[in-house]
Amino acid sequence: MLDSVLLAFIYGILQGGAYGAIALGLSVIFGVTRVTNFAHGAMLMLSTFLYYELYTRFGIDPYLGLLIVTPILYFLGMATQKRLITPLLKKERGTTQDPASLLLITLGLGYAINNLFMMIYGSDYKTIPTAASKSYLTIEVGDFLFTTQWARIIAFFAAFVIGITLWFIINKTELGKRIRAVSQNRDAAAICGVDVYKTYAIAFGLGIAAVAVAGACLSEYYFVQPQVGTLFGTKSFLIVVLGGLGSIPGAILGGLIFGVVESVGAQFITSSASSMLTFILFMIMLFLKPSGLLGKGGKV
Amino acid sequence: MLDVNELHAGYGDIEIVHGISLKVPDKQIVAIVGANGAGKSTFIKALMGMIPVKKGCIMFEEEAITGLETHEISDHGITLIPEGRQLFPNMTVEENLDIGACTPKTMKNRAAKKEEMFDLLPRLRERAKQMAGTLSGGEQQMVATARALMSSPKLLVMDEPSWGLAPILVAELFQTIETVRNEGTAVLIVEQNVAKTLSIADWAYVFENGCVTMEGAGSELLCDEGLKKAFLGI
Repeated sequence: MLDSVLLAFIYGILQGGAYGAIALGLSVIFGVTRVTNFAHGAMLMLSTFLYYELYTRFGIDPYLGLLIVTPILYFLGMATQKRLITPLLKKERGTTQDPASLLLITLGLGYAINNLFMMIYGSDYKTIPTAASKSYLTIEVGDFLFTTQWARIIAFFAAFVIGITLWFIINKTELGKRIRAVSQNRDAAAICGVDVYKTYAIAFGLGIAAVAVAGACLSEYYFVQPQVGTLFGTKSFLIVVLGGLGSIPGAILGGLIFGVVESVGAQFITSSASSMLTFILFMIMLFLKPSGLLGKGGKV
Repeated sequence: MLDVNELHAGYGDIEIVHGISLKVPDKQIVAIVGANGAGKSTFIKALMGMIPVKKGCIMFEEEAITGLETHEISDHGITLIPEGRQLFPNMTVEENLDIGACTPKTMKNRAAKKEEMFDLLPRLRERAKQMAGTLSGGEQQMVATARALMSSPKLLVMDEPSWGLAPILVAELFQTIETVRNEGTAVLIVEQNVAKTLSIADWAYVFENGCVTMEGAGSELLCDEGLKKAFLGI
């Protein structure tokens, strides 16, 4: 019993790392632009299909393919902000509150992408049979046996690589200074000469580029299917609220907690009921500390 | 230098500023006074491109800047110390100043300008690595002033700079404003502290219900009986 809980804990941590990797981009986008990107999951899914195409057509492994897909998704993210969100922001400028249409536009974009891929690829589950998905790490200590795909281990560490990269850009570069300024006070930043809309576009691009890297790691061991994005997208929202909107360490911590609760919970109740546990955790968090575990009031 | 002609502005469908004309000449302090709700802050927001201009024209150094984005207006050399200071609270004092000079044009002089600001306001040098949000009100005002001056603006706009300051700090603030003017920067100031403001203003406008009802030299308006009754309670 103890062994199986320990195993579930380790699997949960690994899966939690992947959750964190996916949630990071969402957290950064919200922290800077105040936009909840409901198309986040759809963009993750879109990236996995790009990896799938690169693999099946050219034999390019997703780990290599991310050199191609990440820049593409960076520009896709920028374009989403520039072409869809910024025009709405400009239109509503001078009114006293942020428009509800902002929420609806990313939601609509997400549905559009999902259905487009459903139309092109159908609902079949595809896999990318790469080397990392077929080689296993096995640890055996007496009766205790732990075995998992290398791809899952890599996905876990990817969360930290993505997190540290984003943290470095935001906290240690000149661009990051402008990003933080816009996040903390967009009017004051504009007065100082910062092009707020351009900074939004860059932040959105960075967030989507981050999800493209997470997508590469995910596609190494998970299904490629049009509905996959919705699953991970929803989880990402819960994780980001749990860890603290806008917080980079918070997204990873939130992901780890989420993964462990889901996995260990499944040892005691069925696995579908264990996802219910994560929702309960989410609601408790909203009551006790709405800013999340490591949140700074939604700012990066 | 700044020439605003028949400016109309407001929020959504509600117009608050009804055709205000105003001039700020080179190297002068121009004041805007008026009761709460007279449209002073709305006027400043429209001037800075933070809310849309409905009608009218804003010229700066012979160039129309109406309808430009705030950061473009800032590029022209107009900068604002907003009401309530509006610092970046989770950034250090030094980073706040850095953002004050973050365009390709202004970044070249950043290091030198920062030294200049630390000399002008030595307290900021001591606090350079501290988060701006943790400073006292007076220190925050210093950061806001220094941040605005980092870009070497031609026109400095101040919206209620004495807000929340102790009387002794207000006196210091007005001294700083005169220093800024004497060094060649024009100043447009909106203030509740009417008597003090009029005494340093070269020219002043009185706003009432979104219109200019009176204008004149600061010292003249200070003696005006109607104004005294309305604002000074004398």
